Amino acid sequence: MALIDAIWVNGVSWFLVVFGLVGPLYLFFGYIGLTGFRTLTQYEKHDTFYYRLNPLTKIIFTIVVAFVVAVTDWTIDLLVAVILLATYLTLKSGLRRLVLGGALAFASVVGLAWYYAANTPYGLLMYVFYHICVATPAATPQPPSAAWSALFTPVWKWATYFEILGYQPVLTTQGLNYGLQVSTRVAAVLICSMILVMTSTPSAILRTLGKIKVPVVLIFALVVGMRTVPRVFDTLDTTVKVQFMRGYGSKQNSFTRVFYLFGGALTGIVPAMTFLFRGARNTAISADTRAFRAYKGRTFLKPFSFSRVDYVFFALTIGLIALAIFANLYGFGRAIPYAAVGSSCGATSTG
Amino acid sequence: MLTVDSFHVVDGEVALIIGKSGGGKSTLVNCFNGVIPHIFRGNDPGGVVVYGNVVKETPLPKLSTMVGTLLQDPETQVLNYTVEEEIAFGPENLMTPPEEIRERVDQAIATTGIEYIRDRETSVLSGGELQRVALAAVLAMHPKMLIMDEPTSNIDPEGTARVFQTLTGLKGKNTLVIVEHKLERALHFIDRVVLVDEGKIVFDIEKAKLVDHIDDLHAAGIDVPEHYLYAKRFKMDPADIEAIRQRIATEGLVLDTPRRSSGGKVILEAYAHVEVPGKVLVDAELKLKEREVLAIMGRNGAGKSTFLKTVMNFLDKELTAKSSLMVNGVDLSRKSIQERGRYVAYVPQSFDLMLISKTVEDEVSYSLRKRGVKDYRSQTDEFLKLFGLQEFRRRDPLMLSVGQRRRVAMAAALSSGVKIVMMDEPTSGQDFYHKEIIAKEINMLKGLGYSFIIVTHDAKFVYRYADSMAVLDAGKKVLEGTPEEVFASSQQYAVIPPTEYYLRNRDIPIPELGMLGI
Repeated sequence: MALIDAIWVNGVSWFLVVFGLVGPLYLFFGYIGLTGFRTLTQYEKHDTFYYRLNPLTKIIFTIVVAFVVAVTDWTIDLLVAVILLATYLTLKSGLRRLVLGGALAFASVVGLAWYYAANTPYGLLMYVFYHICVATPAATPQPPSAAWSALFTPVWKWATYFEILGYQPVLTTQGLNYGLQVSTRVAAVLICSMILVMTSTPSAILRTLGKIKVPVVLIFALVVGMRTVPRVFDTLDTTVKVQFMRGYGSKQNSFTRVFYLFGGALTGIVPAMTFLFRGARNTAISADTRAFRAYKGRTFLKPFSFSRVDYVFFALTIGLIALAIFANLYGFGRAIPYAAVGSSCGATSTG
Repeated sequence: MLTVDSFHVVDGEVALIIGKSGGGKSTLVNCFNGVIPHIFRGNDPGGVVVYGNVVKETPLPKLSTMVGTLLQDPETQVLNYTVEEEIAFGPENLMTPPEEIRERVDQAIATTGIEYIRDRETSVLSGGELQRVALAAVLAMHPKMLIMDEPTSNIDPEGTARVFQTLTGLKGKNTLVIVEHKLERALHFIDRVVLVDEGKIVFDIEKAKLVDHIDDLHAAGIDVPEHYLYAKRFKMDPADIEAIRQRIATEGLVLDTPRRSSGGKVILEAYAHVEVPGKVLVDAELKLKEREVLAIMGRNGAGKSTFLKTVMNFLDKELTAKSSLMVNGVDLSRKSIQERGRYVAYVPQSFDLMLISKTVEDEVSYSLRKRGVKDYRSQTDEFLKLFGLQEFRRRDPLMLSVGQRRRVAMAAALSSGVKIVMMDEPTSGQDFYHKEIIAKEINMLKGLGYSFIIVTHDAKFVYRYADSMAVLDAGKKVLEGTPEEVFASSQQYAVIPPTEYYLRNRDIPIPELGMLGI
């Protein structure tokens, strides 16, 4: 009986670990792949509302989304993420971008939620959910004590040696809740910021940031980055395939392929970056010999303007802020409280 | 290290700077445009003065309004998404009023003849179009002097001809300093030729006197157009190729023709079909014989590289592709990249991407180890010896010279045990000296039983070293045969034969100067 228990505990524990680790890894490298990342980081011409928006509107919207998901419960964050993801359908090759973006967001949520759910110390969870401060780690209640049981709802008890890996002894609903809180915020901001990248030309962003007086050097770094990132994925893709051609991963199957892709991408980083840095020297010469940074500002061929669609979007942005306020008023505020200045730990509110 | 006692360029002049790679050509022109010392710091350009401004004391932005710079690789020069935005980039940096930016953009577009692509995205342009956009972007700065550092190294013959056409139109309006391997292409519109070798100016002469310096060119490893040799011999004008050709015939001279192997059994049959919504990118099949060098030519975007990538299963999975590959009777059509790699090696244009190991030895033995070959050490030694790499075996491949890195990539590709090699643009950006080394290597390997499929824009290389060739146009194979057969009608597909071909084929009309293949 003890043997069956041991097999059960170890089997399920490792299954959960593999799910939390391999699932995202498979989505990143096996499903999305390097070409998928390129698609998600590349502008392609199209004519729907996102493309007609002034990049400044999109930048403001992204900042507001980041603010809203930071102050609301993960269910709201998830809702925002799903709605934003659905709008990918309006982009060029919308369905493909939606599927790729969804896979990327899902992988991020699973990976991050898993990490935080299993690793976040009980002391922090007590602070987050019950506003209880624990003086020292040693004083933190541990399972299966009554104090711990009064605060936490167990989901799964890991095999004992998992603690060496940094895991908390028992996975709890509070841990999962906390993990989702963190990961859905990241997913929502990720989905939103990719909209900016996929629907704005680098020069439009340059123009916008120039207008709001962002230093030219920073803008240039951003613009060159936007142009280079898709090339990074392209180049890495070639290095991985060349390794495959030369026999790397000869014994791979559909399950292990993702690990070989990951390994190939890691090995290929040095030649890919060396290749790209050699090109970057030309990019710098090309810009500097065309008077880049000659002045603190720049003029622009095309006017900087807002259209009706920008004003509609501003209204939506304000609506989003209103949503955050209502969410907080009706108990969907952030799960992670912050101590008010001068207050003691126990006197904090959930905000 | 470059040492120049005295060098001057007169306003409105066109000077051609030639020399081997690494000889100091780019260093010389980088002293004119201020890249040295303003970007490459630590170098002293000495007392270089451009239009009255001492380069090392003049800020780069100011210099950039006097000296424009066009580089070799248009992909890395172009920063913006659309053609108009790219051309406007420079004037915008100069805080030029929007109305004037518009005027400059329109003017630059008209000069370079790219009106038809003004609203296009730069990412979808061919190499030749992209290079003309880069040139327009430089012209929009209204520079008095233009420096072009191998401006056509990475583009097809048609694109090269268009760039040189544009430059010919600029003659007299701008001072032009051109660094170029393609001596033959530029000769018809330049005034002066400057040979730079081993960090020194070897000669600086009027174009008309070039015939008298052929020995210097040979000594510096420069490819001298063959008709120049006959022009010197017959004391004729080297620009009049037709007259030289007639004279060769009158004198009864019989010129050697390249030897081509015709035979061998077919060892590879490949078919590729690639499409995007509404457009077929490639739909072609090719056969390769044993010990054959098969060249694939065609315009930028004709589908040459896509064909190789499809056959090797390297293609972007977002494209819809079908392919078949049969090697020595083994059907690899449904096999993985790894399995195809047992029979065929693919060397990409950016061969540095193959170099993933810390030492040359590890790089060459990589395939053998991954494929579980037990005596991989002895086989590695054989390949190191074959490519003359023993002395570098412990060195980091990425730290070697371009030529050495290419040899490592080749040795690494062949160590899989393949006998068929697909090479994508192996001569692109290479000077004559390095091209000759590649050719010798290919000939040596051919003798050892290897066969090659080579994608290239280099008609002279094909004429001299290929056994057969195919021309792709809009993804279709439109011509196939020996270089002699194909070059007879390849001009319609922008594959322009080299002068050597015309000298040996008197019945083929010679195109205007500047349109000759190189």
